[in-house]
Amino acid sequence: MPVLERPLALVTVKETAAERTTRFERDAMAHIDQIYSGALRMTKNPADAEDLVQETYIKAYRAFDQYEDGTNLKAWLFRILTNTYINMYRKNQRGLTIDPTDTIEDWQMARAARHTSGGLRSAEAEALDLLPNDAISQALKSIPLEFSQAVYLADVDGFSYKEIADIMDTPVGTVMSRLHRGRKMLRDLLEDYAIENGFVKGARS
Amino acid sequence: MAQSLHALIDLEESAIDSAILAQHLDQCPPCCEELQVLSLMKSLVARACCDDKAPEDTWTKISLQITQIQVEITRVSEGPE
Repeated sequence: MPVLERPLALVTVKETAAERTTRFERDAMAHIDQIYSGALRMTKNPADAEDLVQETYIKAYRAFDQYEDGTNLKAWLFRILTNTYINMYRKNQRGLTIDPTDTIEDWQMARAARHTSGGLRSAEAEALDLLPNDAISQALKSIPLEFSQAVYLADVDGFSYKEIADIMDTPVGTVMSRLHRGRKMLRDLLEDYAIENGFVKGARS
Repeated sequence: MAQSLHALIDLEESAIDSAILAQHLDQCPPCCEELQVLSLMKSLVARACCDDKAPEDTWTKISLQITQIQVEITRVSEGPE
């Protein structure tokens, strides 16, 4: 579908504007909860998340003629969501990285300050499966966004590496690396939690 | 190897050499265990993070703005005569 460069007023399109609006409302609205969820994990508060969702949908509506019908609409919306977030909140930074309040080093130091876990391997799967959902979502929230975002997009939203690369505007290799590190961080946090809260039989606390 | 295991649970076939991976997993219990843990973690994340719902009036607000945009566009297209 060609990108419209002339004002809508001068273009004859097969679908009327009203029909396109209806199609947008029907198809795009279906993803609103997941878009909201994505907005919430970036902004970390519901009021900003709601604003971000609205901004995203309006931008998406205005650009809807650039969306190729039949391709992944949710991925297209997520890309707009991510770009809108960066424009609104991260103007002086590159993408989702370099959040001054949220560095790898801080995270590593915080973790090192607690006891280390060792030899969990055989009991690990058992212990992880028992963890409450809240522990998992809290752990994800404490991981720097550039890493947790990759995990969310892969595991919650079900996007492919290529789609994630497009959404985060990075090469596929970077996506894989962030995913790998994000999962490692998550796993370390959950191991700590499992030990501290008695989910692992026989482990010292 | 590690990235292959991740790619496997993410169903990213193009990132894996299936034959080599299958052969390796056959002979490597630690990697099998690792695969099990990774797979479990993936499903834990999915199950723990699917609850957020947009506030009820979010769509109403969006819909209103869309209507306003449409009105504006129509006005522009009808233009000064």
